[in-house]
Amino acid sequence: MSALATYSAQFERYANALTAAERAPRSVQFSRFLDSGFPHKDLEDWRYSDLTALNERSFEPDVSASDDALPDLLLDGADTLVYVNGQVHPASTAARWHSDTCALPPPAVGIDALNAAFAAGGLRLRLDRGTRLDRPLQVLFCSRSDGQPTMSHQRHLIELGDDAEATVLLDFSGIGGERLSTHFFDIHLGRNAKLQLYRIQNEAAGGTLVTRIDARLSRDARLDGVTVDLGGGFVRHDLDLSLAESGAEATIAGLYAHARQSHIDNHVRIVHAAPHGTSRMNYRGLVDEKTKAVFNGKVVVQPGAQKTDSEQRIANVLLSRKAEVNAKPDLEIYADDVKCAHGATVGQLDAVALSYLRSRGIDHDTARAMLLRAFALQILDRIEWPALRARVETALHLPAELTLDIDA
Amino acid sequence: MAASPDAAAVQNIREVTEMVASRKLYSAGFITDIEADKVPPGLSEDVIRLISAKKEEPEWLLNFRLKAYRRWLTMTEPEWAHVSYEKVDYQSISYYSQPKSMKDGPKTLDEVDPKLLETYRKLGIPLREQEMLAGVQNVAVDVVFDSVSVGTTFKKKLLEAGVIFCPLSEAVKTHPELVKKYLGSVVPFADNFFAALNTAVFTEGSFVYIPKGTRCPMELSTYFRINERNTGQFERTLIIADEGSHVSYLEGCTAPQRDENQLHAAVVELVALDDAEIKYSTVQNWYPGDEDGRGGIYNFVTKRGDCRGPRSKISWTQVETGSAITWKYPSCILRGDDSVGEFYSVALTNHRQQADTGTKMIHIGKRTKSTIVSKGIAAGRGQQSYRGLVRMLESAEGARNHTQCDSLLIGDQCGAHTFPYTEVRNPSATLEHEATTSKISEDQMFYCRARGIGEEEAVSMIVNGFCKDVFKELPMEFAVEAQKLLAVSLEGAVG
Amino acid sequence: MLLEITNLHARVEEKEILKGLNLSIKPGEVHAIMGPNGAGKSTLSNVIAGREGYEVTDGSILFEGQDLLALDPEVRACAGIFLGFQYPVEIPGVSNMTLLKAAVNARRKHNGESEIAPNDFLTWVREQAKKVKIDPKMLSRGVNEGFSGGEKKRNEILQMLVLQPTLMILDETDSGLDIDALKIVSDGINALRGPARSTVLVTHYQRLLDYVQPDFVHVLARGRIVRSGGPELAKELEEKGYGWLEAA
Repeated sequence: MSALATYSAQFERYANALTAAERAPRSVQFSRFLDSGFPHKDLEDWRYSDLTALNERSFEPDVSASDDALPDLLLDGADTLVYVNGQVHPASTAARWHSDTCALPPPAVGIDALNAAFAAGGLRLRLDRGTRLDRPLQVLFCSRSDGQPTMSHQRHLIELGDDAEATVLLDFSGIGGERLSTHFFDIHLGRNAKLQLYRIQNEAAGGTLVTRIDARLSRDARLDGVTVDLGGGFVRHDLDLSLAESGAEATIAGLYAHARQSHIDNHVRIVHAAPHGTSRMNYRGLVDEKTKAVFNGKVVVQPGAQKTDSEQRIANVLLSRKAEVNAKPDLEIYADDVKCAHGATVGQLDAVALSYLRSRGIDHDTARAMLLRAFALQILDRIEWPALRARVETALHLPAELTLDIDA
Repeated sequence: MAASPDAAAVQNIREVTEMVASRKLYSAGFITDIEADKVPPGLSEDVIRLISAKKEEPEWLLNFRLKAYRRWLTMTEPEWAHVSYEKVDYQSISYYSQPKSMKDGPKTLDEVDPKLLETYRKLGIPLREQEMLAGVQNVAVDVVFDSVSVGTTFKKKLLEAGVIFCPLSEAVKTHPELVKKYLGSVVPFADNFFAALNTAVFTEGSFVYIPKGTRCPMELSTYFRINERNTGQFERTLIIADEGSHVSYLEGCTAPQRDENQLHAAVVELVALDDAEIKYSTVQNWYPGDEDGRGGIYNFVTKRGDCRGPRSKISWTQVETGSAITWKYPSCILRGDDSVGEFYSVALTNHRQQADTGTKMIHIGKRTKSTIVSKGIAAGRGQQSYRGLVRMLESAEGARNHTQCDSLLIGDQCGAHTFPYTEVRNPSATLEHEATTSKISEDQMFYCRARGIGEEEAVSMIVNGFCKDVFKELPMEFAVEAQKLLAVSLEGAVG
Repeated sequence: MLLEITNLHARVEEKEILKGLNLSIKPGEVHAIMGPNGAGKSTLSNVIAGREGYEVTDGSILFEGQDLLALDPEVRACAGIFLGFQYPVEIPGVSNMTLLKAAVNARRKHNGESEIAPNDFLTWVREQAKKVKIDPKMLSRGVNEGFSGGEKKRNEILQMLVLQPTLMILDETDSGLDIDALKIVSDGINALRGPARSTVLVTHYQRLLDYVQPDFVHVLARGRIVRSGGPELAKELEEKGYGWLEAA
């Protein structure tokens, strides 16, 4: 059987159920996918991440909504929209933000085209001008896989009108075996709108998760993002921000930690397309066991985007002989009146601090955990939602009791 | 005072300002009218055989070339660099050109065509030892004109120290065992598209061997000049520093001003054995093309040093002001334990110049250490990219890297980009990368002008200050030349 | 007349700061210009030195009879005007010596003289540096790079001693200095006093005037000189503050 053949069979079955009008654009996308296949490492954007193994795999589509009890992941005080393998779960309190349909992108390539060919609807959060979401919205994506590997592909939309405000958590959680999920998000922030966006990823070891967020910020809009990767088999997350109008501001913090043998690839791209934009990117990685961490940050300052103020910081602690870090903080600058800096470090836990703590009677593991927590704290502090922060800290095995102030 | 770099800097800035004022922009842009023996354009196995025959090469070397050529045919030109240019038509280039008067080969420098000597005198490269001795320099020079070496100075003095410094084609005959052992051992014949092309058609370059425990008694230097129209220059340099030896090598390049693009695809291989040290400095001033981007050299170069022995050290210093397109990543393979790699670079792009340059530091040995200091200056419509790779393999216990990468923008039509790849596979390794991008501030400009210093000179001064960390790594005479070049290259960038 | 300012109006980013300022300075005189924050003192210094971003909308400045406003800042400097900066600028990598030599030679070239001999120059600069207690080692460091506030101000005075200007404008050179540093700076200014050389001290405090005796004191407020007098005016300002001016 030739490569990608199982996908063709799946697509044929899927497309047969569509009307001719629905089918046409999806067929274009699918043929683009067949031409390019899954991304491979000869592509600069996929230099350290290769999905060609999936060319030969076979995934069944997800069938029906599961009534299984949900893992204990729902956060107090939040409205919830829950998807189990792509299907809305009855436990959702905010099903009104679900849409069965989605808009398709222009003809794409690779995994983008695969998603567009099969994509089902998903979250559609649209807030009118000046509206504010009273409670944070938790969108939980549960992946379950037992038996035959399955796949699901969804497209989502968040659109905040001028002056609108919302807090949204994109919560990816998986249990079981092999599974492929792709999620594409389009985010539009109106003038002076504000979005606090969290993304927590704790997929199963057999899970392949590809997510992509494209966000466009209008004048004076603000996006605060915190992203945390805690697990997964192969995880690729693209965050593509366009500061399209003047005065827009994006602050993105990220942590990848605790994973055991994951391949975690974060690509963050911030395009300053207008003057007076501000962007901050701060990523930290605790890379342990057999994890391969990839980070690619890119700041592009387009011609005319004068007075851009941009900073990119990436720090990694490599904790194991089998682990690997590949970091690439790019700058592409086409305007002269800008303030841009970036820094990247890879190192280890401070051995002096470790022995200092042990000399005070603290056992090695606790001392180590304290230092790991201290390293991660910069990012954890950015999580302003207490219940969410507690959950992340528990997952990291870095509870608050470990807090220490090395400088004190 | 006379010898202090500051005084020299002021002196230079002054000279350069005058030079600029008299519009003698690319002063190396003259053409030497000399009869050349040139192979017709085109590349084929026959051409390679012809080059090999002209150089009277042994069979193994011809086979090495042919192997590379056959592989090259299967390769594609790299496109990942942040440059755009019209692709080269490899069949329109002549792969061999030598001045006719060289045909029977001058036996000594006295037999060299006076026109050639005049060319080098104009460029400030004295070929006669007595001229050199009269000056302040103490540098042995090998000079390559198009495809051949036209002379090497101080050979005798070097031989007394056991140092071999001669054209590579001569070394093939006189020291075949060394050439055979090391050629292609650092840059494999199929390393990349341009290296494979070079391996197939390389015509000249320098060969250096420093014996065990020897400190080379003087600076060694090769001066490259492309003169003939429609020729490419494919030089190949091989430097071997045996155990405990030390050498400092300088490389300079110029080409005449011509409307069409010319290709320069060189390969430089350095081998440092146990405790040896090689310092390699380049001042690259190939013709950059005119203000509208017509003409200029395509500078596609593979330079790599292998710190093969423990405690060895290779240090690259480059000042890149010329060429229309630069694609160049002088690299260090830090194989020996405790070996050290350094890369200091100033690269300037003005008008329509594009440069994609940087380094690769591959840490293999324990406690290997690398330092990268890159200063990129973009002016006019120039595009300037730093591309660097720091790779720390699993075996690189305790390896360390520090990278500082700064860009300076002059004007709002240019671009400065940074692409630093870092790959770490050893948990005891430490890596730090810092980068900044800025422009010359209005405050700095006004401060200088309020002290009576004109705009152009103020920019020159500030830019030189920005590059100081790199210039101080250059041998004195080169540092002076580099400052001059920088100022000349910046002409027209202000105001 | 060395400097003659007539009906000077100037603005920065659409905001009019100087509104009809008049000032005449004869050779050998020391003038102090005092006034509250925001009165336009620094604007005046910058307009005389020719800083970009300051637009003169009316009036004139004549220096030794020539129209100063038509000249580039470097030409003004070469003609003998020196501005001591309120906030001296750092220029990393460019040594103090490089800047001094370039500045002196620019001046000499302007006057049709040959370049200064390096050895004589170094000796000369070292002598001047001693006067303002600047360690000769600092001369090879980057211009103001990593200097303390006091060192920066002394470095301004050193530049002035080396350049030997005809008109010295010192913009708040005394601010942020302790008494020892203030004495050093004052000694430097006094050393250059002479019949052919004039000084403008722009300051907020009377303290400097205890060490550098002015011939005239002017009060600058709301964009023009509102009062002029002798040294006694400075004392009066010290006692009364600037508040009474607002009422006046």
